[in-house]
Amino acid sequence: MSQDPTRTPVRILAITVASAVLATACVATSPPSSAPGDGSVAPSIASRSPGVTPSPTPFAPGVIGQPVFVADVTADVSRPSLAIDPIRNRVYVAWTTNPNETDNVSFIATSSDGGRTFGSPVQIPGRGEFWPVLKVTSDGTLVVAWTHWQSDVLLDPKDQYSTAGYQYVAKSSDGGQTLSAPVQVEHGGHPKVEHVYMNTAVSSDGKTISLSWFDYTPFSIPSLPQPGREAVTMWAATSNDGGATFGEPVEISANTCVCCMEAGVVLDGNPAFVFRGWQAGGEAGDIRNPTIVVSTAQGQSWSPPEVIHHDDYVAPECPHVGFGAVVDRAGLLHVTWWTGTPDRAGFWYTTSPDGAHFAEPVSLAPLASTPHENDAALGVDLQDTAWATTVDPGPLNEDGSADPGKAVIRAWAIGPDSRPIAVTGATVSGRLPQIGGLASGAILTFVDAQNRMMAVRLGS
Amino acid sequence: MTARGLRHGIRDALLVLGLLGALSACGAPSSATNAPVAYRATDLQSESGVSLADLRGRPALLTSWAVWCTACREELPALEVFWATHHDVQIVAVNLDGSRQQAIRMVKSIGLTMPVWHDPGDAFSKVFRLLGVPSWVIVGADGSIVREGPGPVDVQDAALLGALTGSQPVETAP
Repeated sequence: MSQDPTRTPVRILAITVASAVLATACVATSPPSSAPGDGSVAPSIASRSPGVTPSPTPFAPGVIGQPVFVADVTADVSRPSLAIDPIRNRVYVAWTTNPNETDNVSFIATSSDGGRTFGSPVQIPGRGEFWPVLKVTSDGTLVVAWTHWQSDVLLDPKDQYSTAGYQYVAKSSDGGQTLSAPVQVEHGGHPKVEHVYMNTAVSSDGKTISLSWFDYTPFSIPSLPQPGREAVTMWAATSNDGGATFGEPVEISANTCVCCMEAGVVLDGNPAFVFRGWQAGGEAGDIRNPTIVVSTAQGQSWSPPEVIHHDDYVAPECPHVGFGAVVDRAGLLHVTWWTGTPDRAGFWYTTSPDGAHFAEPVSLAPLASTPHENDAALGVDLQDTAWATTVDPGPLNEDGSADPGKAVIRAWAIGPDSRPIAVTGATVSGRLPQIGGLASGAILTFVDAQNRMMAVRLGS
Repeated sequence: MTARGLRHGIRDALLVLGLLGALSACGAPSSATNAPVAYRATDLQSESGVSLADLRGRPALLTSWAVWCTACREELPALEVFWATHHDVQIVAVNLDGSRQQAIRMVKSIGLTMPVWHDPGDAFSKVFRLLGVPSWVIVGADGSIVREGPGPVDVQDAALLGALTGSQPVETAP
């Protein structure tokens, strides 16, 4: 992947044509999506941004510049998070490792030049700090939330992995160099639940901060997953004073796939979370559909979860792939996900103006294997171009083995016509991609085969 | 075979016969070819290469797991108990985590003594065309896929036991 020194008109035209052909081959419409409960018709995806005029010139996204080194990580790096302040050209990347095989440690690396260079990572104070989630407010404040897993407090004495979790929120107003004193999200004063796959939704003014997580306390787990079993619950706690205090957690979904992760956004001032819902049924077990739950009154109450699309993916096991969700300047919600449903297995993209009505999903990339631990990452730039990633675990070797370093990450740009265009030159070997929008273009981060966190700029 | 083992064998054989009609409930008979399948990983502890060829001669059950898999946290201890009391079955727990050390920690935590393979590239899912974790496959004595399915292994399932033992009664350790 290198900078194209020969951006001649002919070359640009060739890239454009190739991208269009590739995109045409990849675009597929799905079976009818979930009908809105009120019987209304889902909006056309082509008219998703009334205020945005399609570009009159061909859109040929490509890589801008060389991949840059962010930091050395370790093989057990997990759940990276990426947040971008496009106004101030700042890029934040966070991740968790366990280098000494004791407690987890988490880091934040910052770029102040739009991802061209990164400073030395700053460790989130403490040990056991896990899976930080980053968001940026309109005034440039970085909001960091994480789970502190206290390894010496077990919710089930017989289960070493039932570690008690405490959730914290802190802020940085100096570009991620220092964090404010963390605020603990209370649970009646006790860590009643095992917090996993926590994510956040932060309003642009920073006043509303919602944390959501899955609860699989040992006492709520059935003996074995079976059709008809009780699902894992999903909870949220919200602050309306900028994270100074949080209200009591409330259950926002009673039917959740525990290992499927979630993504948080704010829709018209209301926190919302996208996750994989669960329902009993199917010949082999559970049905897991992409689902959204949207709050009312800035997180003080929540509407019932709504299925985004009835993939009807039957999976009695863990499809461990996360979601992408982002809201653009026009208030349009963009969502990406992976499904394993036969005949439509792969990554999908849709939009919604209100979190209730979704356009027909568009295929990003077919994939009949599971990109475990990766997100269907998604970002949007200030031009309202959405940028998405897909991960293919890669081919098998002749002897039936597979090299984790061969996983292939691809980036996609999705303009106003909702047609995904493969980003030229942005196919890299790696894992754990994240992507976020700049003023124009995007930053793709990933972990390469040498366990280095890398970043590359995308644009057109 | 001891008297206790014989009783268990007869019980299991009757269970298998009585539930043959329920075969469809036990995962899906393999849609794959009868030809031997190539699958290679490493031993989690020794890091030496291992493959299905090492299991030839007797049926073997392979089940995938990962540290982030909540169902696996319940499946593996039950499978360990089953393996420890059924000496004539081959069971391999295939770990898919990128970090070998994380997997070793969980093996120690659970107290697994059964063979554990490490497959960080997740060839398991591709070779056996299984999407989620855990998933399982029974490979015949000749290396071909006999049965496979998503989700945790139910060691009480008669059809699965029949496939694993070549329809022979499972010998229970005294």
